[in-house]
Amino acid sequence: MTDAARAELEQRLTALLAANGAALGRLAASYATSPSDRDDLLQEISVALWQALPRFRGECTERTFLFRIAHNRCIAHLARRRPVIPLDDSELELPDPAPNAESALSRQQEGERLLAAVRRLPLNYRQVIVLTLEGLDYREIAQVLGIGESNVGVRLNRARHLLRQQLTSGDER
Amino acid sequence: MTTDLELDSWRLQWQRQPVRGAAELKESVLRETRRTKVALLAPAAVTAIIGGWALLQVWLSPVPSAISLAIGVWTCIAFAWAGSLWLARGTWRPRAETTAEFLALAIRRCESSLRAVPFGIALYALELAVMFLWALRTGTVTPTELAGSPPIIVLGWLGGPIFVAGAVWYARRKRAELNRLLELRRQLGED
Repeated sequence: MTDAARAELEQRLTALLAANGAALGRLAASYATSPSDRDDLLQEISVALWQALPRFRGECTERTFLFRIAHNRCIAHLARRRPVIPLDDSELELPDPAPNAESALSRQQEGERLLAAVRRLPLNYRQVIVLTLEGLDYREIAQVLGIGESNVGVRLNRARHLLRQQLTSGDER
Repeated sequence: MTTDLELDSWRLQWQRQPVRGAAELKESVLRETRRTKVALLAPAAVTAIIGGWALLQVWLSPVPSAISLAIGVWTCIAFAWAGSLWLARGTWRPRAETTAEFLALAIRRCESSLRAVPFGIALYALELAVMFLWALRTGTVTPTELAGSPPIIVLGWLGGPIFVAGAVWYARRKRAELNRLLELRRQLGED
């Protein structure tokens, strides 16, 4: 690779990470078991992206391409880890929200509770709900996962149902 | 366009999660890429150093012992490269950029790693045999004396079992990974 090509590639990677770094971090968090595990996975995703970028020919949007690479890395990450152990109930039992429902702590707790519930979903539903929460539409999700759009709809409905159940049962405890 | 309050609320909660900075991420990518390059160059470097050293011995002193050593070394190198390339066939990149193809590739890589275990043990045995035969042909010692010599004790009697134990441990790890991949493929196929 020439210096110019490498510099251009680095620029593309920087732009992609700046625009999507946060989304990739959240995606990694939904497949990781701890903050350090999430950071490792995020690094793996970024390296895979760096290696795959020269192969990108614009047959889909850059965001679709990025999420496809990221999802594949997440699956490889799951395979290398020990069997996926469902999270402890204690991990869902966060302290009661603060009296001021608008407080930052309360919002953070809501986010953590949602993340814990997403992690508990079966893999095929987790993939669809994470991409939906990141704002991808049916067509983009279908392209990322290599499944039909109608299939995306079916999985999303089931994922939402399960997620609702998880969150409600968490509230009841 | 319809409003989905539940989904919007989840989306808001989801996107509020704290995340790592992009600049830090890019630095780690470049660092990791350098490490990967070194790892890719390592087998070629080992080939060049050991193979080059054997050829240099022949060039400096073209006696039968140096020639037979070079033949033995290059036989091992050829066996190692041919085996590695044969084992790596079909594992370079996915046939399509889909999750299903990526999973299929990960499974092929795992199967290839499992096939590499007996190959690695055979290669180790070949190297020991070449070394033993060369020492026997060029030296003045008997097979019994050679079997009790320090290099054979370290590389054969101690190194052999340690190498095999490591290979078995690696195979068990890879088999567990393969099982998890097959399970993930099953889960992803479910609707």
